[in-house]
Amino acid sequence: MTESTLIPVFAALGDETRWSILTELGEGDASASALAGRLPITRQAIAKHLAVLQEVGLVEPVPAGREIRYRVVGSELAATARRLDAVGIAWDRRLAAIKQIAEGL
Amino acid sequence: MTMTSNPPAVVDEADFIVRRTISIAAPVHKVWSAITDPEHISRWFGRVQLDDRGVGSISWPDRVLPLRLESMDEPHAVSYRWTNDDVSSDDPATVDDSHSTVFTFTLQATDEGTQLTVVETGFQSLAHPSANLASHREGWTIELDKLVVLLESDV
Repeated sequence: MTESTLIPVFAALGDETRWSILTELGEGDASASALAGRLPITRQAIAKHLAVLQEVGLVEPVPAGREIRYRVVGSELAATARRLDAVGIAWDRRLAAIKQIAEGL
Repeated sequence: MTMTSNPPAVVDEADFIVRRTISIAAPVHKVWSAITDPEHISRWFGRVQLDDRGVGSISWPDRVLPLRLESMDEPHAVSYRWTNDDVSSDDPATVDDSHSTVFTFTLQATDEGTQLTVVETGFQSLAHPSANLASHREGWTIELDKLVVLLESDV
């Protein structure tokens, strides 16, 4: 995962409503209308948020009879988390280097 | 009272069209009123406000879309244009003609009441045609089911 693909993912995640949608979908696949029944948001607004999440690969549509259900793509979230981990590790190394240099002075 | 059960909306990916045909156990004049009178549209779809040129919006508590009346042939057909892009981050204040779709309702009297067809075209003009086709397909299935319930309940 490159930084250019990471930034749109964070933009999509940077919204309270989309977090609540992702949290709901974590309980199980659901359609926009089912989500509208559980969250204080209309189907029209949820459709928009789901499309934003789908665009960056965080959710995917799963046709189920006459409706489309959405599923969280766990691998995409895990890849994002690994990337953040890598950033954290890199800083740990830099800080350790600073500490070593400072203590050696 | 049993409501009429209708097949869901379908997508024609090749022609960028969503369509749905439903039967409603109500006379044409009532269905016509339900799809053209802003006060009635708001009871099954969204809150519609149009000025005397047919320019305005359709809104929900958390989303406002620009809407424009394109043509009207009472009581057979009515067309509306909107910029309803479920993928773009913001909804524009006015209809963007180069990024918009048109949905047309046509009505036909039947022995049981009315046959209503909605055809929405122009998805190729949106930035993400496929995602919008899928989203609007679900939308018409849900919204028109609400219209049937409204018209077939004596409310």
